[in-house]
Amino acid sequence: MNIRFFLNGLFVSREVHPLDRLLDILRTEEELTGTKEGCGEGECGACAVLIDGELVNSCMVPALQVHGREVLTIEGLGSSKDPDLLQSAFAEEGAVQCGFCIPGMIMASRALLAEIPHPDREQIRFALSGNLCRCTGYEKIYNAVEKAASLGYGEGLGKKEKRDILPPPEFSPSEKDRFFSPSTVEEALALRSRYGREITFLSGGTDFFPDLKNGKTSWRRIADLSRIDSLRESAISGDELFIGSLMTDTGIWKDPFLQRTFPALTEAARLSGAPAVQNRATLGGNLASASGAADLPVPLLVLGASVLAEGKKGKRRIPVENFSTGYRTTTLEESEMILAVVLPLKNVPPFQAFFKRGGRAALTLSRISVACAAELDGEEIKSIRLASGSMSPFPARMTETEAFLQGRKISPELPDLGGEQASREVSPRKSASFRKAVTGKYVRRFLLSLNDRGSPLQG
Amino acid sequence: MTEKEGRNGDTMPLVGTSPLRVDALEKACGEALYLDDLPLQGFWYGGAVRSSIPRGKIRGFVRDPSFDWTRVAVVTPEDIPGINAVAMIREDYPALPEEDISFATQAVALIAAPDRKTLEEALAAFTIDAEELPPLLAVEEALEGREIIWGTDNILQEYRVESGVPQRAFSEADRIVEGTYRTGYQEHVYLETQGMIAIPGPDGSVEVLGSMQCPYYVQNALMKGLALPEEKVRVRQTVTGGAFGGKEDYPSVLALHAALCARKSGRPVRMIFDRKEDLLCTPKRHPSVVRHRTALTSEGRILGAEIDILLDGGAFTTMSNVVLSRSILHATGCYFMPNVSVRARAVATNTPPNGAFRGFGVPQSAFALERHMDKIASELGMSPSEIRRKNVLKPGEAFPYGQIPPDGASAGLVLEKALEVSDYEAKRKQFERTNSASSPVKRGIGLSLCLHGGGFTGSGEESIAGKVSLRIPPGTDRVDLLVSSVEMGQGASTVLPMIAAQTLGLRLEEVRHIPPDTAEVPNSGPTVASRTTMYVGKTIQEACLALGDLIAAKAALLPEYRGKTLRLERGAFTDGGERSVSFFTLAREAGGEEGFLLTKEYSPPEGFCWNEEEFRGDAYKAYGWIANVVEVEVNMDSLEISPKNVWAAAEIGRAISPGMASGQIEGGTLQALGYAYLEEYLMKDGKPATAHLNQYLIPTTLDTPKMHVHILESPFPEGPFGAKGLGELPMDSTAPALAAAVSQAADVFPTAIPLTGEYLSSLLPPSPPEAGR
Repeated sequence: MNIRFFLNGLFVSREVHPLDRLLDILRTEEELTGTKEGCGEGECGACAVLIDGELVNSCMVPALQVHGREVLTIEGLGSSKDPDLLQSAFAEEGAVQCGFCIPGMIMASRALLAEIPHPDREQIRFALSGNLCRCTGYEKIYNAVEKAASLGYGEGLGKKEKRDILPPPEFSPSEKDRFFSPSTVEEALALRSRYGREITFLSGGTDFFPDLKNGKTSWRRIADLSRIDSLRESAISGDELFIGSLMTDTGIWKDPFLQRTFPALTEAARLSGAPAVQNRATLGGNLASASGAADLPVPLLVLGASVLAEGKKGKRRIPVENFSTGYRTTTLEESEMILAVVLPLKNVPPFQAFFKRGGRAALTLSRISVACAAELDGEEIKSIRLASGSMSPFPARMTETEAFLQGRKISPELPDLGGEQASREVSPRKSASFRKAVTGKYVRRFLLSLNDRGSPLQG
Repeated sequence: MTEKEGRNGDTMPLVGTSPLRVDALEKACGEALYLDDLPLQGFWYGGAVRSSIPRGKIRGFVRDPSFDWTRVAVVTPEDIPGINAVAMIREDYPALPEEDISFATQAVALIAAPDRKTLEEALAAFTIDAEELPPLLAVEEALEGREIIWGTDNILQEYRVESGVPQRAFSEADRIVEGTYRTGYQEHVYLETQGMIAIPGPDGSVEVLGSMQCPYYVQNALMKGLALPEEKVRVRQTVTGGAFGGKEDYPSVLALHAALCARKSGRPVRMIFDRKEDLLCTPKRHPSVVRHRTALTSEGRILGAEIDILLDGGAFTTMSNVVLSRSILHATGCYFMPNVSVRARAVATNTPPNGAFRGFGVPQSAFALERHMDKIASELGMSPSEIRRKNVLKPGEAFPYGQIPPDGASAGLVLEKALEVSDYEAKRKQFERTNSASSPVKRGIGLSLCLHGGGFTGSGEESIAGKVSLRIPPGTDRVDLLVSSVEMGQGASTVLPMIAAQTLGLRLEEVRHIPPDTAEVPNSGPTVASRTTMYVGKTIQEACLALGDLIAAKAALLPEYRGKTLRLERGAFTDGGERSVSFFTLAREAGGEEGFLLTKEYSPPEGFCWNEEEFRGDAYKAYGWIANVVEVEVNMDSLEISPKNVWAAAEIGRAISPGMASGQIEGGTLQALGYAYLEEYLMKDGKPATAHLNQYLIPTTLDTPKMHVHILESPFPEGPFGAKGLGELPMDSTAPALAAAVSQAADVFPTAIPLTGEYLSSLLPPSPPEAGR
């Protein structure tokens, strides 16, 4: 296929394979080798570039999604003869040692400063949490970002809006029956009806590309959903909130309404991966890839969410509980696709929490996760929902613990009892005693917060 | 301090300042070309057929007949022209095994193919027919000797160090404290994976380029494996994206494999690992088991110690014997122990050979010793700082191997500094009080103390006799530094020119570190062992002085300067009178058509003595000293450890560039923190089972504490401008400080790392939910 895009401000037209990684296009076709490959599966950030101003890992961006976009790489900032302010700051502050992570690190810093021109340390640490550096201990990298910020680097950079500057890409004759770029839900549904499970719907690609690299997935036909803008929106209708299936983790956790209404969900999105992954990973993808370690289904389970799917037989709602039947399998019918996730706005649980225990503080799969939601009637638990992730092929409700707690009066003993019950209920395969214990502690912590009537998210 | 080293040392403000690194801008602008950034069009792809079993006998190979084998080149042991070994310290590591499979992921055959896809198909079509044998997977099992996989007893190396009369110390002791401590694997995770390209020459020669620390190690392995003379093996280092010891030994393996592929196929071949192959196949830090038994007075003074060190070497020696020598020589750390018996063994197992990693055997010894000091303190009811103060080396006190370190007083210096700047005592008391509150977040603070001998052990520097060359190409205003010491991120390409520039009185831009190429640079020794600044830098400094003399001497032959005694001062030659000629003006005049090329060999300082047979004497000419304090929070619900602050007080002689020195300390400290609680490399049924960076977790920004670095300087007279070794020191001591901090926070006593959630959970009393079952 031919793709046309802006690369560092210049218009580029290239013949590519639709699934060529942007990383390879940059390094091989464009001979821009400043963007590095450190892992090829979104786990290091060395390949980070900006697409329409947004930080992404270019090892997980297929060529067909680059068409019509603006790509900015390290070479687009400056050269050693004429470095830009941020590059100079990295050099001057001693932030560069072996240098391999630095192009990605600088791109992540630029994305941050464009959004927040004068970030504090914590904002810098969060923004760079998906970019591994093994040399520096990060300290001098923070100094460099702070120096560039103090010199006003981020002011006026602005955050670019994603805009389709070109019509959809055209596939070559040999690709035409294998690759599709639908612009509307109707087109996508038609493809689903026609090809059923033979067609892979691609959105953020944050599972697809690592799986492809590791031989864990294969494909026959691909439909790129990224041009269906309507799936990126969220809307309130009646007593319900509809979050489009292409809403990203970033879109979720930075939404003030969601933060206020469904803090358990926004917390799960914020703790998922790291910025470059959050910018790409979508709500629909997180559900459809049906992994036990997925973060978002855990709070959705306790918020009474359902999946709005559409197919040959029309639209239907699938409660999240019934959405997956096992690892990487869902109850979606062959002709169906996910349009949105529906969250009831009536009786939103006033007490919510999401806890995640990964292997480290960022860019990590959850090893244990727990979501909790409850409503109280005076001293009594009027309703409670609890769910755990990473313990089963797909996150699941802890129904026994819920039943145990339902209708009980808040008491000093209740947190321990509830925690014990939760600990017994989950059955992780590996590291059972540790993970059962932590699950129990999380539930206990939530129940303690009910005692104090505080928000466990702040505890 | 006083300085006499550089003629103009007191006038040129370069050493002690932090100029811009010479490679910083090109790296920050994405212009630096790492191996995979080179134009490699037309290169074939080399790959290895790897064993999936840890131990076995090869019966043969099965080539799927449906694959067209004429499309590729297959390399088997009979294609090896020289010795079938990757020559390192020993020659026990076959390039490709003839018969015995010794570890899972071992390369048993190689394939070169014109493109990646063909290579993948060929690798899939080529299978090993092997008889499985029972593997030895743990050191304890290997020591039982029921199966022998290496030598006569599976012991790759054994050392002993004895001093005084340990038996008497134990019989006279008021208290005896024992402990056993374990450390796990650690993977380097240099961001740039291992890679080599090999280009065959028409005359049978080979040129190899790649990411490496030791060009001459690679050349040696190639010469032996390919049976080629020196002049037919050219090795060039490309911009190296991190190494940390990981590119000391393994590049010899990969280079030989790539060269064998290139010779067999007659094509230039690239072998650049993806992260998975790198994680599965390359060496790791040696796991260890260290036992301590310590005789003490009731006041906590150490009378004697018995220490037993076991390192898991993996299947072949690689660097294990020298790693072990460092382990044993650092076994008693910064403390005075008058009666000592230490035994150290590196043991072979059917696992991938472990190799060099920043710290090189010291982190293992230090973890055991520092945890043991905490255990002693706890059993004697003393504070961790008190037990250390009581036993820390004092001037005139010797190590068990007989050396009285001239800078021994620095141990106490760094200890006191770290305690002071971290406010250790007050915080320790404060956390004791506040941890009783109901919050699940508990705080703890931990202390550790360590040292690291700079440069090769014993008379290693004398044996290697590193050479450096200085070159002034004719007609240029430039001094080239020709050394085999590589820039791998640590800053050698800036620090070495700083030393030269200051010694010659030139500007930094006038001195260039040339990327090492064995066809061009002399053998200055490998870029390892914290030796580059201290030893190569010293030889550079001496070469600079000799270069000044040489220029002056040659100039004296010119009519204009005949009979004059010219002296180099502040970048200019003077004859003692009014006349002054700039360095490069005189160099041009005196150098004529040839310019200058001067080579200098390391000249050992007087007064150091090492006896290798008895393993006694001056093991290192100078030591770096460090004390760390780590402050953590432990969430007792999730058992998550969060380091909040870490303080490092390090005495490193002289910081040539304080900015880069603190960068080394910060980076090394973070590696040590990762080692302590995040980084876990798992084996499953004897096979490496950690293949992705979402499994092997190194610290992200959010895992990283605030760092407070304090550099102390006690100049080493034999180092350039007083500098001592620095690179490894910060990796040595932070892990036990973190474990100590977790001890306080969680009220447990970890004796092993990594301190994972699972391990921490196992140390806690059974939680109520579990107890109820």
